[in-house]
Amino acid sequence: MKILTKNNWRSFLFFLFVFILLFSAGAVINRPVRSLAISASSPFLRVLRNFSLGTRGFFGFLGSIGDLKQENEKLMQENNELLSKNAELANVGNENQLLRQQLDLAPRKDYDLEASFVIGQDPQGINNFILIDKGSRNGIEEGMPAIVSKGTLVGKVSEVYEASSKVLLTTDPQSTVNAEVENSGARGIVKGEYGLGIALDMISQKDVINEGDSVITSGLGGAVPKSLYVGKIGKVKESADKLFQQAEIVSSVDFSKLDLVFIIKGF
Amino acid sequence: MQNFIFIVFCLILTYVQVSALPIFFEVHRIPNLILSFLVSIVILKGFQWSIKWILLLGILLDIFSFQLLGLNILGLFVAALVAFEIKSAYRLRARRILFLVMFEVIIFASKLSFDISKIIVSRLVALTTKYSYVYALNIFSFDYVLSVLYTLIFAVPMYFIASRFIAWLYRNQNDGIIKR
Repeated sequence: MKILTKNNWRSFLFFLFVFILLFSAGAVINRPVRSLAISASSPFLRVLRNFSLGTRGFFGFLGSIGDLKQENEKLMQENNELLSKNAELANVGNENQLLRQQLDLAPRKDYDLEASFVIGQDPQGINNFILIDKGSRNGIEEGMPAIVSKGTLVGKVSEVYEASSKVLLTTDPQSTVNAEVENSGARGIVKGEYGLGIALDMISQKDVINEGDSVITSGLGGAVPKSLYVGKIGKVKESADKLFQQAEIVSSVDFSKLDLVFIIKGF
Repeated sequence: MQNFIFIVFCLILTYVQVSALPIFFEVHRIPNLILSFLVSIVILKGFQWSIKWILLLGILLDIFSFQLLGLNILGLFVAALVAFEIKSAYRLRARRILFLVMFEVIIFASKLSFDISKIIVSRLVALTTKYSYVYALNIFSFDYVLSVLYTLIFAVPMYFIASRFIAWLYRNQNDGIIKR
């Protein structure tokens, strides 16, 4: 079998030329081309995403009809528990406010949040990022943290376009966030691992960390506010060079099914 | 007009790949519909005819996957070439089951060559330039095996869609879809 005919050789050289041309011009044309294409596609992507979510929801509903009664009872029970917890927390909140007033502490700030719908993900599923439908025209800037459920960190904005932005998830190996273990105060760096895992790395050997401890952001560096929830400590192990400890983080967020995220614009 | 409809179809396919598929599949296990469609049109209409569509689909993938511009174009070119060479060397049989087996072999070889060529090119670029992007894909992982499997499964309906779409779009032109 002749590997390449004359015509195909020409095509190969043509494609190589196109690649070199695009690669060389990448720094100049990358942003405007992406910005234009993604901004123009944003409404279509959103419609398609919503339709797909509806379809998934419909099939999920069909599949769960048999379990609905049990599910309903379980939810009723959970609802009752949450109502009593809510009343208790409201009481604690009032108490906290009174104590803060007495101690002259500044009141806790609410974050300036921008709700954004997820409109896309990496089409080839290699990198862990999401595309959201808010961009520079909504005041989004690079480095802003993205959260779900009022306080669970899921990533940081890495690229901003006019009507959309790219959020690098904490599960991406390129993502790093300063964090600490809530109980012991042990500090480390939250890093993404291949797949959908997250790890707390660079923890000092002196620090004691236990499975189930909560990991929160430490606020060091100022890029991400303090006390955002990241996940719980899973297995603890030594790093390869044995200078630090490393722990798996078990997140409560399903990163592959994110629909709505909040960007913290001010804190 | 036909080219315009084809472009719109490619755009819709890319939107489905970017926006809809990640909802139904785990990240890292997403089937590659674009590759399946491209291989189908290479089988149906030949390699030279497909070149402009390799360029279009490649640039769309480059834009939405935030990778090095040109990387997917080169990857799709290699995949299309592999598909065409295998198809030319081993004539696709008329019997449905034999055709299906051969088609799946072609898709498998194209998917592998697409990803391997991208890994090699991104590493070469990282070695020779300051650009640090590396196409971090582990082709020995379970996730990758599943993504190949899903691509193989979805390639069959993709071929069916591509053949019907091309037959409808070019029904007035007698330039002939290559019969299996």
